[in-house]
Amino acid sequence: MSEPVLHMRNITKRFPGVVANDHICFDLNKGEIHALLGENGAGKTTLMNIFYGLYQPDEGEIWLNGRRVTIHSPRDAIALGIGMVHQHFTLVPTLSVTENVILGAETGQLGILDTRSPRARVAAIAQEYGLEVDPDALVRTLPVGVQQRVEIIKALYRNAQVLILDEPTAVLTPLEVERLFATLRALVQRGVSIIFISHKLKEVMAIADRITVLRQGRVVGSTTPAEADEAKLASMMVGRPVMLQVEKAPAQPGEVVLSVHNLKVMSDRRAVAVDGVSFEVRAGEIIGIAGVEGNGQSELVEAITGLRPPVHGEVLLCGRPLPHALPRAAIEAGMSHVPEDRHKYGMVAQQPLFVNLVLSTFHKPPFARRGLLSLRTMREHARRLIREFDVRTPNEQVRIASLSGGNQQKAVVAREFSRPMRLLVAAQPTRGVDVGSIEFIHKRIVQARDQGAAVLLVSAELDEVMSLSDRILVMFKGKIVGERDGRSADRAEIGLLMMGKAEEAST
Amino acid sequence: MIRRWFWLGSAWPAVASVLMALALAALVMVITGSDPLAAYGALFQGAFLRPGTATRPTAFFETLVSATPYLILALGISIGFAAGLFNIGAEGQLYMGALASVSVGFLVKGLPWFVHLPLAIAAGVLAGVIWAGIAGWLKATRDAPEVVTTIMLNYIAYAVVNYMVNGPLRHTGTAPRTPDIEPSAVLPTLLPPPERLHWGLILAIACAVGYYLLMNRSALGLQIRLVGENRHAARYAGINVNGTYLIAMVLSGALCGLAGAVEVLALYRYLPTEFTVGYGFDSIAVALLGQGNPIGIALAALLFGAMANGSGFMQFSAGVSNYIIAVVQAFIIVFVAAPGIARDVLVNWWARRIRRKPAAQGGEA
Amino acid sequence: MIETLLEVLGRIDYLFLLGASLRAATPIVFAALGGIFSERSGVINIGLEGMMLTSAYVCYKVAVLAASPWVGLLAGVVAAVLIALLHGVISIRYQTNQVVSGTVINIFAAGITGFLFRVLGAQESAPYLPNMNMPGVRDVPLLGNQPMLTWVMVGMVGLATFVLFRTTWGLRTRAVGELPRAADTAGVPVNTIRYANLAIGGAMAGLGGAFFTLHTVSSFTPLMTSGQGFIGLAAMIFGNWTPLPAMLAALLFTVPQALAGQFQMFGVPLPYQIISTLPYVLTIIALAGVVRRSTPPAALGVPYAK
Repeated sequence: MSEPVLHMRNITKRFPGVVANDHICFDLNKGEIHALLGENGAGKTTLMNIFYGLYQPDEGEIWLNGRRVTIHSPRDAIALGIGMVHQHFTLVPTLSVTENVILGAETGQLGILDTRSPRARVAAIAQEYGLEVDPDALVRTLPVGVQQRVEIIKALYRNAQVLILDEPTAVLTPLEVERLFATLRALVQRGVSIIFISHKLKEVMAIADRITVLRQGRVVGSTTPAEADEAKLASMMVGRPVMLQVEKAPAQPGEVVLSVHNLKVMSDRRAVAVDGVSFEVRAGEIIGIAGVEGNGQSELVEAITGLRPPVHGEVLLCGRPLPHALPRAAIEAGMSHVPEDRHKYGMVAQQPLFVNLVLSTFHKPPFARRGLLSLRTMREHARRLIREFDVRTPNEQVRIASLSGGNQQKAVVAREFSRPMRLLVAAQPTRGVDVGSIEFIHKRIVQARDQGAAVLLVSAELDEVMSLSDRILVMFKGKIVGERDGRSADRAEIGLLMMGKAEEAST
Repeated sequence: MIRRWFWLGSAWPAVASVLMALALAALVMVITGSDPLAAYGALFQGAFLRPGTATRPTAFFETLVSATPYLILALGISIGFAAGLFNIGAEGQLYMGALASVSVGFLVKGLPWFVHLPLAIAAGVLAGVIWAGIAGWLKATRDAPEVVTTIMLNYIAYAVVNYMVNGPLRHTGTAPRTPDIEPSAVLPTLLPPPERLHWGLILAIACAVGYYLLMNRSALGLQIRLVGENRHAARYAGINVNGTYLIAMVLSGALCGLAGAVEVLALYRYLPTEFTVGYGFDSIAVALLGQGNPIGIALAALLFGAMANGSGFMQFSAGVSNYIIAVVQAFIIVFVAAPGIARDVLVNWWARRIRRKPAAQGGEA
Repeated sequence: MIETLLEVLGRIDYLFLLGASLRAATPIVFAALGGIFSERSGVINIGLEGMMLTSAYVCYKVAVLAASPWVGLLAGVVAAVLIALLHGVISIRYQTNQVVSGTVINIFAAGITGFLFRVLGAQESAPYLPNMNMPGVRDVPLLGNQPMLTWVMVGMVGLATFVLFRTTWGLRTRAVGELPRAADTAGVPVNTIRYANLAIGGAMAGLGGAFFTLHTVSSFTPLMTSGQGFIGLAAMIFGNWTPLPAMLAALLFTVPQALAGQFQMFGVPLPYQIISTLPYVLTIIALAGVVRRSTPPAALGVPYAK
């Protein structure tokens, strides 16, 4: 039996108001894949950030290869042979692949940059592990799947013996996931030990040798894929039995509410992001848009909601064209929008909760009359929504920034649902949210549909799209490449469409 | 524990900044061989206590006279801050406001005062609006950074005033200045001579009240604050962000222009080539110190007015250069901008005192 | 009128004109380079004006006291670096809004230099730095007979380009300014890089400040930098945060003024106040035209917290 490479003992990390890691013990054997399973906020990423030197633990010890180590910074971690592929990639978009790989580990004399020999090594590593990538390409031109390869190469270039992967499959299509798993198995065979962080049960079951489950900062237990099943893991993760499926009645579509005609939208980098997209959403149905992130979904949503002017095409709400780039017109016409980036668009962090609950209506009666605000009405309105949407908060006057992610998201949902709603555009509505809030938000979305709203759901979580949608559209490189019925859609087939392989999917 | 109660209340950082700045300036005085206690005593006396005589106005009223433009300007700058805009062009807007008011004040003749005076004030406000509006419009339509454009507009305003006063608007005397304004355009004093306390103070206080209503009670004020705190979320919520920038800049410029109008219509009653150099910049410090709160801004304006007014007497009676107040102001804004500096220094000082005590007891045992 | 204009245009010595513009652009380019280093690492630097002003004063005072322009130059650069580091403490350590911090730096510098100038006086003339009028370099086109710092400025533009795009330091600086997390997780100390680039930026502003008191006039007057630090920032934006284009942008701001000077010399009546506003007006026009098409470093203005 192999000796443990890593042993973490009683790691404790406190942040103001929460204990993120509470006396966590975790070990890793040489050449194994040990999965760290837990829902958002369970403390997985915190634990790994401690191991990688980004945080310092308040208590506890880390033993690496039989020696006690203190890791003050990523620099120390790298020197100890630890590599990490972060959930949000740490690649500089404006630099080339090679430049990104050598950053911080540059070679060359007198400070003059040497890119020639590193370039050759990058190519060699890519070849050895099947991580195809052009060493000279600018990172911003690469699809996310390829960017992930660059991240892995970056770790291997630094001779990582322990590799941490934080939610590595979040941005991949099912086929790309298979390919990543093949790479991981190749790495393990060459003696690399891997910590695989995930909240997805299926993947953990497929790849891990061992599984450790975290909940609310504590280790709940350890098991192996052979001993466990998905239902057992799910209840370990959440602490109670979980409904893995959303219950809903068949849709009863009414008249067309949203219709998008031949829409063309540019990205921030002035590339075509949405390329001639047309579709319709009817009252009483949920249309889900599946696709790997970065295939134009964000820009599509922004164009529909008026945040980004399209260069071509039209958006019609109940038969009337919406003026371009005028969010207020969309709001007045009965559109509600749960934005994908809550912190950027969804809330004003320093404002109290009750202001955030009237962000788009404060200028109108009953909240303002003749230009003067009625704070009392605003607070009453807030108290009602807090009750109705189960927002956990001391009162309506705290800053929204002080709430947990799940409660912030429920507040955003509450605000958007509190207006008369003909169309709901929900983009990544459950991102970074705990399971309880996910169930609640899903239920409210279905309820909105049943009350006659048209719903456009955009999500990178294929499972979310599959379980909520009545019809599924698949987006790839700015185009709609396929449409399937929500009840009969096949997961593998949608996965192929997400990679642009329409022919294979239809056969 | 100390940390917690010591820093209760948002006014503490500002007060601590002022105290620390005064202490540092005292250190500078000791180094340069003066007596800081005598200097600050004289400063306080010259700013608040000295009684008036038949020819000399009362010190406290003069402090209010000095504080008036600071208050109006700082309110204007604070509106910009709330929208996330840095109107560093208060100085230029003040100059243009003064130029416009004086022009109306002496070019237009034969009007009764209740028409002429409001007209002259309105001209100053309008000039400030236009001057700030240029920067606001460029920000709203072209994304041009207002920090740079307003500074550029300051230099252009200096040149325009200089040109007008030396050229088309020059009076017939020797010094380069405009003619006196008509008596009907004078903003009157509140007290008989030699006091100079004038109606500008009442206007300034009215502006502070208006500022409070705007920022805390009106939908427009909330709109401005939302844009300033998160313009993306504001746009998402249907607010016209660029329009809000323009509105905030225009309101800011209106107040700065008003400050210029008040200065020339009440005090100078003509326009010299250079006047009040630096008021616009000092007021940025006043606005930072006031932290967006109208009472805080008023107190900060009073402090700066007191320093400006008392420094002359300080130089006269304590022999300390009146420019030492520039040092005090410089340190104040450093500490106000980074309250953490003051906190760290003071908390460390407290912590060391507390640590020393048990250590001493341990030594006895 | 048009004939006179054409006649004057025919009589202008354009090489001389360009030389004069290059000279006038010197402090602007130094400020732009200072801005490029700090902003490429992600820190907005509105405080360049104050750093230049501080350097101008310290250069003057120390050069007088030491009777050496070289000692003065060194002291001025050191003083500007210290002010730059103060900007760093406020905006990096205490994470104050970087525009506020820069504005504070400007007011601070104006206050302190104004005080020192009034208390310590400024009667004597400072010794000048040399002009490059030695045999051999005197006849170099454009650069011959120019102030030494103009030569340094041209050299710095080349050096800055090399450092930013061909060295380890440059790679790390750009990474820190674009995506500090990437640099941090790769073991690059983000805030150290930022402090260091602020210091380099301060040194550039220091050289720019020296130009005022050790070349242009040999004495100090309060606020004598008259917005050139801000014009440098505009040149930086116009040049898309890249040294050579920033230098060309700076020339764009100074050529018209030199041209107007020539017109005036040949008897075309232009009030000097109007001519003096030209760089400011051009800066505004340039900013209005170019900002939407420029791409600042992605992490510009965002303090880094883990």
